[in-house]
Amino acid sequence: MTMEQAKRFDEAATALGRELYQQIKYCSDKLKTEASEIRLRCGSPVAITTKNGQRFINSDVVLTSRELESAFLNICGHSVYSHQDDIANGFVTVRGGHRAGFCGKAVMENGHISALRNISSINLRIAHEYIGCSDLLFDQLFSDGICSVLIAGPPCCGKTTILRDIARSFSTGRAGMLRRVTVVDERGELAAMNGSQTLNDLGDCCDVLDGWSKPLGIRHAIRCLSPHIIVCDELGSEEDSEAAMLGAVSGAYLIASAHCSDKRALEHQPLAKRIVANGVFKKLAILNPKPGSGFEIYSI
Amino acid sequence: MKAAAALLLLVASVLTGKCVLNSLNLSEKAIDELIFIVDELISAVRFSKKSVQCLFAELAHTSDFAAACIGEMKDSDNIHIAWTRAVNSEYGSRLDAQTKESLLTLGEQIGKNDCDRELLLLEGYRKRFCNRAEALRVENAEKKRLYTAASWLIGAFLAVLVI
Repeated sequence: MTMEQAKRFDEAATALGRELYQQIKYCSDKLKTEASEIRLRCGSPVAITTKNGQRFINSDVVLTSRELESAFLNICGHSVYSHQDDIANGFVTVRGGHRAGFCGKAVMENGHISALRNISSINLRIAHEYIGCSDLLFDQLFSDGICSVLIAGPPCCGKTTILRDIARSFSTGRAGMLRRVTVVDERGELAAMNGSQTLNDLGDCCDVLDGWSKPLGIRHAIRCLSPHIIVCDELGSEEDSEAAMLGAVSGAYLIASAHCSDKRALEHQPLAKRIVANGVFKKLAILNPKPGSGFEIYSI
Repeated sequence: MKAAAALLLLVASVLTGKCVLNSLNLSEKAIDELIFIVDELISAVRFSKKSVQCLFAELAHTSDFAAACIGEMKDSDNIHIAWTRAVNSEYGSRLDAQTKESLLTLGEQIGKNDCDRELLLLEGYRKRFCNRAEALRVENAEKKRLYTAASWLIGAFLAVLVI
């Protein structure tokens, strides 16, 4: 597992381009294993986020705007136009499902962000795949049958990793029989598609709608893929909420995630409150802030 | 014997002329290929949103320039570097200096813009390559006539000289 995590770190760091990778690749295997993010800020050294906080690499070498620009271009595969919509949303998913978030000057057009310029910082989140990490949660959630579940938690608590593992568990028959799973992978983090193949293990009964928005993906799945279970990441808009409703009434079970620190906070977010209140989900699992440090389950 | 030598000289002269004509045709084909590449890039930006690298990987079977770029990508993960290397490789020798210069500048700028600006950039270069192709065709038509006539005349002159 340690080697696998170090390999994933290297895979993510390679996306930043050769020059930056040369700086990063010599950090210890221990640091690579513990790393959850690689952070680049203009005028600061490269920082690695671990569960114990931030660590700087080569603290005397600070990043220039040219290096950030180069890293940005590398992340975009030297084809910025092909990631324009993602960039407008502030992130790009690179090979392996690692998500790069950007900060910079927003270029506005008709009230929407059309592009980013003067990139000032990049946060590359390293995607992890822990097979079996959701086993305990899975057994507790579905001990009395499959139901729709909302998995909530603060950022970086492992929602996507858990969601991916739940999809794999259903698709490999952990729930007693093989289930047809459709993953609506809007951000490319769940399956990490490479061409037509998934880089993450999602089992043999899983169909992936890569890059589909959640509303379109859920509708398409219901129409064409007859899934037992639909899995999607980060419900966050009115359209997502409506699509979740549609998914639920069509007879498929929905397993989704949402940002939320605790159950009380969920009641104060109008959209999350609506999602919970509209009866789509039968159970709510709130993950603790530290990845792998437990969860609480509520019936809705 | 003399007649045979004279015939040989005539044939050699005409063949040399043909070789020159072939090289002119090659430069025309090369610039036509560039227009095709830019067209494909425009349609990628407009519709499929494929990255330059993905597009070139697909076009490698039909385009020498795309194949040269992909070949250079093995040593570098940067399409801009691969592009420059491809232009400066054997492929670039088919292009005239002006087209080569334009292609190098396009390689430095490509893939760094959003869709609208990328389209403007590519359409500008398409126009530039089309104009160059047109000019090259006119230029080459003159040259072709000249070289064909010259090769026959020189051949005939040498043949007469030998006889």
